Amino acid sequence: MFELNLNFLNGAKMNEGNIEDFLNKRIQDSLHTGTSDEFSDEVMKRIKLSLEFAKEDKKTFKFAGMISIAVIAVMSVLSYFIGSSIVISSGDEESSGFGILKSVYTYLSDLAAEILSAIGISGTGDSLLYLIIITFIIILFIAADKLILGKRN
Amino acid sequence: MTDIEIINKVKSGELKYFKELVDRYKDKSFSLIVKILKNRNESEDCLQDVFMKIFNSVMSSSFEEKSKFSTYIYSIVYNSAVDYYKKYRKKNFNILSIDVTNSNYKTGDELTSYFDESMIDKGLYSQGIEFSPEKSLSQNEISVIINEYINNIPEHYSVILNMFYINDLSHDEISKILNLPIGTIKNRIFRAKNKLKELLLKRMTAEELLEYV
Repeated sequence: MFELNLNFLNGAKMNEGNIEDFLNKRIQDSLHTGTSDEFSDEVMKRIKLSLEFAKEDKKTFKFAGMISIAVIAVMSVLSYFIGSSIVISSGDEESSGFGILKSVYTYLSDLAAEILSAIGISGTGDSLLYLIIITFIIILFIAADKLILGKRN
Repeated sequence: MTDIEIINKVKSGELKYFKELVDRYKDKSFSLIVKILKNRNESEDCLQDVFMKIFNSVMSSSFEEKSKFSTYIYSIVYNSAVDYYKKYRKKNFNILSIDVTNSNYKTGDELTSYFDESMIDKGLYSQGIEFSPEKSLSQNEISVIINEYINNIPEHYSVILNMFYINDLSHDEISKILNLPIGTIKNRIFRAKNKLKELLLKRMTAEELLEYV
């Protein structure tokens, strides 16, 4: 008697299990969606292109670095040359091109001294002028750096 | 070849092996993205970005072998699809139903409120099938019902179903990726399947259904 009842329950359980399996399989089939046929090739093409770009970027960055060093070197040499020429040109300032440079320098130096005294700081005009030149060089360098990095990105 | 063996080959410069990885995961990942974005073209674009991210992480060795590579991939796939959704739809993608905050909410309510059974009749009609309660459903009709149901259930169900049935992720792995309690994951899978069973058994008897098993 017990056996008969168990068989009945087992049968119902088996049917329930079969329906579950059927539903699992059919849900799985319905959920599945495939990509287009050329998808993998497209991804591989994109990867190869990105690697080529990375290589090019590396070259550009190296080149940009070299240019930055060259610009800094030229600027340093030029600053040194201009600085020394101002001192040397004191004798024949009227006849040489350095004379104009000297008068511009004197004008700026006087202006800087006036600004300093106006804000109540004691010091020569030269020190403010040097500060302005250094700030100008820094700004120029940052701008050049951003320009190069901007192109890189 | 295992995933890790492929990764090592790619790392050593043998790029062609990455295609094997793409072929292995593209369709299963695509299924998941489509459930979120519901657009094939956008999903392919998003999946391309996913494989680029995976390639970069393989090359930079940012994948740690502590976790399964498949779990790692599917978590990137899910997060990228959600980011894509937020970026281009300008909306938040919420895996939790908005109803969850409602005090009258019972888990599974949204299946009843979102899913309209007339969609199934529309689906059958579009396939030239006219449903009659007297005659038993054909294999084709059962497929239409299941497809219509799966295509129309809310994404906070379809995403979990996809992760479980297609991506072969465990309840625990899904819970970690979605940041949801494991009970919610089990419950949603159970309710989604139960609702489908209910829909089928409204249109045919269990004995008739068993004939197709």
